[in-house]
Amino acid sequence: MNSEQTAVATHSVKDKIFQRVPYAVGALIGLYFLLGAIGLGVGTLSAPAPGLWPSIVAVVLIGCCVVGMLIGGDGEDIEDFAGRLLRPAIGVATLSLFILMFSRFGLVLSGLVVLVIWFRFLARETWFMSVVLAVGATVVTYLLFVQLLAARFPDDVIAQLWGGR
Amino acid sequence: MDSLTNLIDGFGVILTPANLLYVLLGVMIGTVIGVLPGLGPTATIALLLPFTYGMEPTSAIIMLAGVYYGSMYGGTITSVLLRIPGEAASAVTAIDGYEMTKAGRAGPALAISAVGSFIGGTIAIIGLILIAPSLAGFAVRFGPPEYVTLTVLGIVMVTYLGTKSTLKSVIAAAIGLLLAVVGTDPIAGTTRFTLGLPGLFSGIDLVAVAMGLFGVSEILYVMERSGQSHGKIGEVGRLTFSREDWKASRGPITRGSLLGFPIGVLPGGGGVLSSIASYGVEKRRSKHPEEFGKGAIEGVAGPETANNASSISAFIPLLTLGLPSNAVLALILGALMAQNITPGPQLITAHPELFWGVIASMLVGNLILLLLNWPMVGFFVQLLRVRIGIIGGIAMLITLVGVYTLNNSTFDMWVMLIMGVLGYFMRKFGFEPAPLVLAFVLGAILEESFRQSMLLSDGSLAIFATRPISAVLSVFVLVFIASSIWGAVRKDKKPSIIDQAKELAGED
Repeated sequence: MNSEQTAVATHSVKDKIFQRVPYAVGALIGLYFLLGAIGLGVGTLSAPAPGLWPSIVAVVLIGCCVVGMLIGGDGEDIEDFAGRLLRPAIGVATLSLFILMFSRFGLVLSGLVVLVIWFRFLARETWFMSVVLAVGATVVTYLLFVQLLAARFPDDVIAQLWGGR
Repeated sequence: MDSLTNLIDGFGVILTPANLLYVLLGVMIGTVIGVLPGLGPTATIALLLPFTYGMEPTSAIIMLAGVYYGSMYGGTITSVLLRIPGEAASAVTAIDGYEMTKAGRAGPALAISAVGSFIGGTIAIIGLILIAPSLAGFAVRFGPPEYVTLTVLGIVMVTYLGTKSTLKSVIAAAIGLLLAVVGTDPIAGTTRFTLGLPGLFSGIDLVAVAMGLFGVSEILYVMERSGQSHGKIGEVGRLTFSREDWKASRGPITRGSLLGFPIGVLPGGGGVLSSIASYGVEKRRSKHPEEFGKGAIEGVAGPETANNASSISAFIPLLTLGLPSNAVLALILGALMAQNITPGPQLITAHPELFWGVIASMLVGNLILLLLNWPMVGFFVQLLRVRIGIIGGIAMLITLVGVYTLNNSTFDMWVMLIMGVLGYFMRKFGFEPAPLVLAFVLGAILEESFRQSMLLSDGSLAIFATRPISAVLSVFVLVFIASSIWGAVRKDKKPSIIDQAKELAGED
């Protein structure tokens, strides 16, 4: 869809391995479920045990992944993204930080900190805009969930200063 | 006549101030989301799910339905004015719509899409009223073997009709089925694949999965390129079309409605496929096919009508069989389940106020959209000035907080984040997340029906071939599988319609 999404060339050995990574991961997931399902007991078709169904699906998954590894792809719909992982990685780290902070400090402080980071460093807004937007978005989210929907969030260290929860 | 009195009762349900407000809210949110690139209808509905838990079931569904077909309208605006499809189904509209804008004909393009969408939507609602009750009546007789073959057919078709590699879609679907197994076994009661985590004993939450795969991954994906601004927004001009425009569009609108309706019913069909099919048909029928791609109004009217018709008819499998046909409907199924309503053949008789209320709301919602489009296009265009990084940050906060409210636990937040990362890499490697989510939703129904069938037949797989309905469905399943394999062996990438799609949509 976007012109800058460049397709991975198919020629080098490195690319051939790269294209097969998802199939290998899929096969490993299948193997994990297959072994787990056998551990649960497969039973028979006339007396199915809890492991029967997952083992059938796992075999299909492994089979498809093996086919994928054998034929590979033409790399047409794979994006070359190794050099662009930094920003999504920062995004994931920021979100993890929010989850960790949220359970300790509640919504307001965590929301402010994480949104300022997000707007300033990921969205590249100015410091002023980042702070203004973070305050605005956090207040709206607080009002929406805590006041309007009466959601039960972890105790909020900031809102408590004003007698909120 | 029965349908008519029921429909009037449906209007009784919908024409209360509160429910009218929910329709309005749904279509407004849907349109705004359709306009904003980066957040699709699936992510939005996932985002809104927690808000629906406190609502009446009917209100919840009419709002979510409004978001869905409202987003189809909204996506058109950005496609026409900027060549940026706000959602996938409008990608085809961008081709001729944007050319019309360049020629100073944005007004007619938007106006004919609005009228076409309204007509397509209305015709599809009439089709729904005519077909759904008898289909449900027929489906009441379905037993476990029929449900097995039907869900398998659904999953097979989703992988077959997808826009990317069939093999990859099958892999995604298989992973979805395996994730559905996590939790407590429905029949024996033992826990499976829970890694000892109490948060997984009741299974992985559908909303966390969907929000992660569609919402979080989409935002991570667009964050790579944030900071880029949109191109210049074209002049809208007067939102009217001439008599000649109407004469040229009449046929495409009629055919778009008739084409979009059946495609929407198909699992995995939905908006994208119907708009592509309509574009293909109009180009082939046209006396001047060379004008397509250079601003032919037929190339806007047909696809826009078709994708709206299909977004309405996509409700038929869910409301009559309890089986969602795409990821959006899977989430609406989730919303119903959260209200302790299990959709299925009994839905129409057990909850007539819900069924007919939703239908009435669709008629009202389509009318609101038609009226809304005229005065508000200018406002929607202004929304495009909001930078994607800002939308991303706010959406992330609401998503995380919203998923917490599902079970008041941070566990679901982590599940969503992991699913977001998975979805991000799936996109990067050319996997579609939709088959995974759909298979995840159907997984429980499929496993339970399969095990019940095996108990019924004393372990004989012949049960799927000896009962007439499941035999017919099994034949379809085999035909689709055989045709996929045949296509792969012959090195055809995809059936012809998909090739056409790639040619049309990816002509960049």
